[in-house]
Amino acid sequence: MQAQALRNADKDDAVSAQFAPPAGRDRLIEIDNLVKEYVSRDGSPVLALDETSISVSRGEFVCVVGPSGCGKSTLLRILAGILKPSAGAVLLDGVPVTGARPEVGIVFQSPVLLPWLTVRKNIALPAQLQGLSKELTEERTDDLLKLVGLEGFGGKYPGELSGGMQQRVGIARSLIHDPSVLLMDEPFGALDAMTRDHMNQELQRICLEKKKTVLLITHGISEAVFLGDRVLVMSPRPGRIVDDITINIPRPRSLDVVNTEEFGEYVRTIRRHFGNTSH
Amino acid sequence: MSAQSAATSAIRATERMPVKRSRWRISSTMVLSIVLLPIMLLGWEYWVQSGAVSKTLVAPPSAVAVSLYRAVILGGMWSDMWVTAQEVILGFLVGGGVGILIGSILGESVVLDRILRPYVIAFQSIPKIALAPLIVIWLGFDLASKVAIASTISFFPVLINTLAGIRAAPHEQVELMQAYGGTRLQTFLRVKLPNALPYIFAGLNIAATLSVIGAIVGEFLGSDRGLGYVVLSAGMNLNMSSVFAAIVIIAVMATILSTTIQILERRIVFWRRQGPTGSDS
Repeated sequence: MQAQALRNADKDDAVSAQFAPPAGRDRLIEIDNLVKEYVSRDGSPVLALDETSISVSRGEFVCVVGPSGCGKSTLLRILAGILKPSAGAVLLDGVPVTGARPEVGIVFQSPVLLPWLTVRKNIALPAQLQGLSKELTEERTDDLLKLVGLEGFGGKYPGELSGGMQQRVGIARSLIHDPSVLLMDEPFGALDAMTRDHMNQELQRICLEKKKTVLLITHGISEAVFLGDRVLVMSPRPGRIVDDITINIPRPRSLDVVNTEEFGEYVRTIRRHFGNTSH
Repeated sequence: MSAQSAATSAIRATERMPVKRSRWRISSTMVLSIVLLPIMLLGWEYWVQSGAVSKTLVAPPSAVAVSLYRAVILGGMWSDMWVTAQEVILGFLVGGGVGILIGSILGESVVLDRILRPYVIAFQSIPKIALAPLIVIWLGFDLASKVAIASTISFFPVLINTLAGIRAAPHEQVELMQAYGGTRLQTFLRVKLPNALPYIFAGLNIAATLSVIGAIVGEFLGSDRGLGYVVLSAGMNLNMSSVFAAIVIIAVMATILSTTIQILERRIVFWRRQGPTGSDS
């Protein structure tokens, strides 16, 4: 038991030493030995995350890939202040995360729009909750509608939009309060392949334009390689980081990059972690 | 660049808007159900006029029509209608309001719900109408006792529906509010209550019918005016056409109330009509 723990600790050190960002760079997200344990319905404890350590520098786009149920979403919810960690430290800009933080924007798996509010009002929701002025909110809503390509749709209701358009509203909403960090939980998982490719390109464009720090969770390996500056590989439950791969493909990346040899090599490297069981 | 815009428009084309269905379509079933009414009335008229049943016991539609004319057009029952309408509407508003309030509190507070749930279930199992004589004894023969009876029997379905609706708020929407620092009250008002509205309206619809029953029963038990009193006293005098006329007016009043609620629901819960794609799809 103790030997196991020691071995794990050694491995962790090895991984973080090997992949730590160069000293002196500004670390915006720091997760250190994070543990999350649930109590399941029958009362037995379930270990969702086991001693996970991640650090993300300012302006970096980091993707986390892992099989379903490996605790990726739990990780994101802890960072967003929705869930409390069982052990370990979670720092955002050097300050421990104890609840919702104004410098965080979040995009969920489904768009999670409120169907009784117009697109504009949905986008403005975080700004209202954080008490931003009305003028500023209106101005930013206009800009964001343009940014996500939904000009003229501000007065529509979510039920009148397609799935892809709804998720774009979700992205616009996550940017309304000008957060420095974007947390994304499989944002395009529910979309068809074509729309998803398109949305990935759009997301890259938006993030290059807005210079955000992004932590994106996905189970799509090529999506992770396409979007990420770094790809972190998570093991099946209990989740822990088993690899950290820097993607050296210049930006902006076009969809054609998917067909290049180096892209394929990155995908193969990551896929090796999942054996035959994953996509 | 042009390749990209071509790709964009291809994707736009796949992002279709849901098609709206037209709301008014006259079907053959609708025609049949309209035609059925005169046939039934004629059958009823013939049944009474042929002497198969005593006119003292059953009024023919023609006599009911005359009574209705006297009651509604000439004003013979105006004051009774006004009395009953007041009782029904006040009973409905009080019952609905209390139901929404208590349902919201129990829906929000798991602790309170746990403490009070046994009492709620016990109260649910009482036939509320059995409390009516007590209420009349306590509150007297005036408006107050009828309103109390109507609201006592109508508030329960609203409470239960509100509770269920508050609890049914999608978890993701609640998380959204948490992620952006929404307070408990903000989460309640902006997410949970709007989500509960379809449930609340379903409860109000039941409450409308029940509050009419409550008001009428209250008038049976102790009153010297109102449509329930008319039914009772005209019945004692074997004035059957007036009994039937009063029943028709009560039915119309109940229909007006529930139709009003349905129209309000369609206005307020407008997003429910916008097709199958909700926010949580």
